[in-house]
Amino acid sequence: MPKFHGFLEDTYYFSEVGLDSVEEMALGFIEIRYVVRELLKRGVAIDRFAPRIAILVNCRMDFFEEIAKIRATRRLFARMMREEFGAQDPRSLSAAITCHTSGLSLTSQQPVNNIVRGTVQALALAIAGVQAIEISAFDEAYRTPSPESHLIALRTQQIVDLESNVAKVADPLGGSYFVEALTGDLEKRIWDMVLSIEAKGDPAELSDKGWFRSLFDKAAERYAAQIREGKLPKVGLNVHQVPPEEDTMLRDVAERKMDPCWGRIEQVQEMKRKRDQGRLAAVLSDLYRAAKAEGENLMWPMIGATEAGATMGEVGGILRMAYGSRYDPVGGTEPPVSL
Amino acid sequence: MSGVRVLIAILGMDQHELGAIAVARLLRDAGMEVIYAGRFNLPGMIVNSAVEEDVDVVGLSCHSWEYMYYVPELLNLLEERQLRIPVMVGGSVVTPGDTQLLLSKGVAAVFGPAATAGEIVQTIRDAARAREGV
Repeated sequence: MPKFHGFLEDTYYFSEVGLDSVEEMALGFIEIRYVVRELLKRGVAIDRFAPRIAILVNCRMDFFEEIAKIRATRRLFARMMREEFGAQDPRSLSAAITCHTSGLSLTSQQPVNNIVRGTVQALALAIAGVQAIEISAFDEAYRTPSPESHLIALRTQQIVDLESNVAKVADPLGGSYFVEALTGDLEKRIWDMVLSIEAKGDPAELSDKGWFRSLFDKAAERYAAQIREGKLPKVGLNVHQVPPEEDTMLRDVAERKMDPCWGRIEQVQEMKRKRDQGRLAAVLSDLYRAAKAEGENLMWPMIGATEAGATMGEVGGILRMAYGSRYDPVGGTEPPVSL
Repeated sequence: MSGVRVLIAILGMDQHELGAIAVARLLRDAGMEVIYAGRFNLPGMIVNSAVEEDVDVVGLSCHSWEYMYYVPELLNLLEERQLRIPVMVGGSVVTPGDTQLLLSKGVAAVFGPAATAGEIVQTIRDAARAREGV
C-alpha cells in the first residue's frame, strides 16, 4: 500500500477541548517523536516510515495564525527529521498535512454564519498549502450533520479551489513580513514547549500521571472563560446576537431525522451468522495471546482475524480485553468467542 | 437546603465530554455534589448508579443522535422500578422538536445551547426540592 499513511498524528481531536495552536502542535510533536523513537528502537530505518507519517491539524478562526502554524510545523518537522533522526530521503522531510476545520469555532446561534466561518478557514488552509481539507458541517453545532450541510462544505472547498485560484501557487504569503515573523514566533514557542514537556520525563508516564489531562482541563476552562467574558468574540453568541425567535434561517434541516443504516446492520449480522466459528475462535485467541505478550507484532494476527471475518469492533474489543479493560466499553455486547 | 446530589452521564457511544465536564464543574461550584459517570453509559447502568448514589437528579449530556433512543428507555426503567428521579437533558444538538417530544415523555427539563448557568442550577435545585417534598 504505497499511498497508505500508516501513522496519522491527529492533533485535531485533542485540541478541540480548547488548546491554542502552540499547545496543539507541541503535543502533536510529542506524539510523533514518541512513535518515531519506538520504531527506531525496533530497528526500522527512519526513511522507511517517515514519508508515510501524516498530520491532521485543527483550523480555528485566527487566519494568519493558522497559516503560520502550518508553515512552522513544516519547518519543525523537516528539521527534526533531518537533524535529530537522520532522515535523508527528501520525502521524509516533507510533512503531509490534512485538516479539519474546528467544530468548536462554530455556533448554534445563527448557524448560517458557520458557512462563512468554513469559508474563511478553507481559504487559510488553501493558502497554507495543506494536502487535504475537511470543512466541518455548518449544522454540527446543533445536530448530527445533514446531507445538505456536507454538500455545502464540499462546495465551499470547490469554490475556493476552482473560482478563487488561491491554491494555484505554493506558499503565496512567503516573504510577508507579518506571516514570516508569526511563523518564526510560533516555531520557537512550539519547540520550547516540546522540549519543556520532554524535560519533565517520559510522555507515557506523564500521561499516566494525568499531566496531559490537567493541561486539557485548564485549556477547556480558559476557552469557556474567553467566550463567557467576550474576550474571544463569537458573532451571534457573545456579540451581535439576535433573539431566538428570529434565529430561524437554515434551522429546519435540524428537525429532519436520519435513520441508522439498518440494511448495513442486517448485512453484518448475516455475515456473523455465516462465518466459521471455529476458525474465528482460533484467530481471536491468537490475537488475544499476542496482545498479552510483551513486544509481539500485532499486525499479522489482526490481518488473520479480519480474514476470518472478525469485524473491526471485535478486534478492538479483544485488544481492550488483553490490555485489561472491558471488551465493550458500553457493556452492550459480549465477545463472539470465549477466550 | 444543602447536599443536592446530581449524576452526570453521557449516553452510548457519544464521545463528546466537554459539555458534561463543564456542567459538572458548574454544579460543583454551585455547592452540589456531582457524581460523574462520564462516557459510555447505557440506561441500565445509569439507573443503577442513580440508585446506588442516591441522587436527586440525573443529568444527561447529549451531543450525538442516540438520545432519542436511550432517553425513553431510561425513563421506562425508572418507571418500572418506581423511581421518581427527575431526568434532565442538556446539549446543543437537542432540537426544538425533540425537546417537546422529550418533555412530553417525562423528561423534567431540556437545556439547549442558550441555557445560562443560573438557569441550570436553579432548575436542578427546584427539582431536588420538589422531590424532597414528595
